[in-house]
Amino acid sequence: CAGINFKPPTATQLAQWQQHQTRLNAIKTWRITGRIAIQTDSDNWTANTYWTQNKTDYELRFNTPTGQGALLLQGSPQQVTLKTSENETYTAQDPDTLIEEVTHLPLPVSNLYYWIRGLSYGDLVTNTYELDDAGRLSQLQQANWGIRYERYDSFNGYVLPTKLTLTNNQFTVKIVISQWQLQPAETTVKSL
Amino acid sequence: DEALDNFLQNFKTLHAQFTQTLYAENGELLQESIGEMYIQRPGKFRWVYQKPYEQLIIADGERVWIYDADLDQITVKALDKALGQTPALLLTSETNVNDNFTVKRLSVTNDMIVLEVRPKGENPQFERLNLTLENNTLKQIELLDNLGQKSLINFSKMQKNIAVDEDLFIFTPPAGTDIIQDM
Repeated sequence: CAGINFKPPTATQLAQWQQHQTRLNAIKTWRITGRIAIQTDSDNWTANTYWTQNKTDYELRFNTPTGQGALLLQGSPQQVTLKTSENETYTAQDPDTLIEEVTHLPLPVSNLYYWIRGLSYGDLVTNTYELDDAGRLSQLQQANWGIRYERYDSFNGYVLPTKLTLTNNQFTVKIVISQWQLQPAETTVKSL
Repeated sequence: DEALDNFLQNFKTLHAQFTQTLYAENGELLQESIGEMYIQRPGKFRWVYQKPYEQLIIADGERVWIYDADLDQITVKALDKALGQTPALLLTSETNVNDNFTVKRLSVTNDMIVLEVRPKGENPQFERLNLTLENNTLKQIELLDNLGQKSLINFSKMQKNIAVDEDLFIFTPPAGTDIIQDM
């Protein structure tokens, strides 16, 4: 839907965005605690989510609202493994196809690596985004998803998204984050 | 196990505060949450998570409603489909425990009994659950799920068979939240 026209950024917003982007790119290790809801017109899926990222290794855990394990995705550049609560294990090269094949839910995990921090995947392309008055992303159109950042909060000095919605022509993915635990690259990485 | 049957058969309502601590399969702490719960047999419960986020889960005897204000989402499931073999089924169903679960007594120390409950059937939704009863009331549930995660629920201020307002088990959706039928 290229039809939407986004408010072009002012010079100050762009400068703020550059600074914000550099700081966020420095975050390579984090733990997110939150919830996710994926909706289609026929189905829906709600889960508690725990995302642990340690440079290029990650673990994405989805539990039922009452805390029972549903899905565990563990990935590294070499391989991705998905374990289900039916005691099945699947492996693949990339997380996106693996999740889609097993759950039929399109979770763009590779892009979420950037979007979840409030970053775009690669440089911003004119008229595909809008910045808020602090120079942070408020809307982004990328990889045929529309991403809307509805809330930011600060966690030890970093301002990070805590509510975002991703939509494409079939799905709506809502994510809320109750906690970010960070390990910016410049400090030593103690085991998470 | 007659201690469990005795407990389940003579409670009509339960009300308690709870803390729930979730550990990953390697023992790492994932989350601590606190909340309040009401149970009314058969088939009704109200499970409210208060911290670190708010989430309301209500079983009204027919369906289970999950309302997450921040996610602005309501999910509705048929009761039997939602409960499957979850702890909630154990506590709220009138059917005999032994139909759905095998129960083994792990330990007895003066008035504290620890029971191991394992779901029957081909694909059980959790591995096992340890239930701790103390002078005939529920103290703790420790659930080991199929991904090796452990959920420890500790109950406090437990009240048994108190009068409970029926409206607590009726879910009234707030205006404007999208409701997803997932029957």
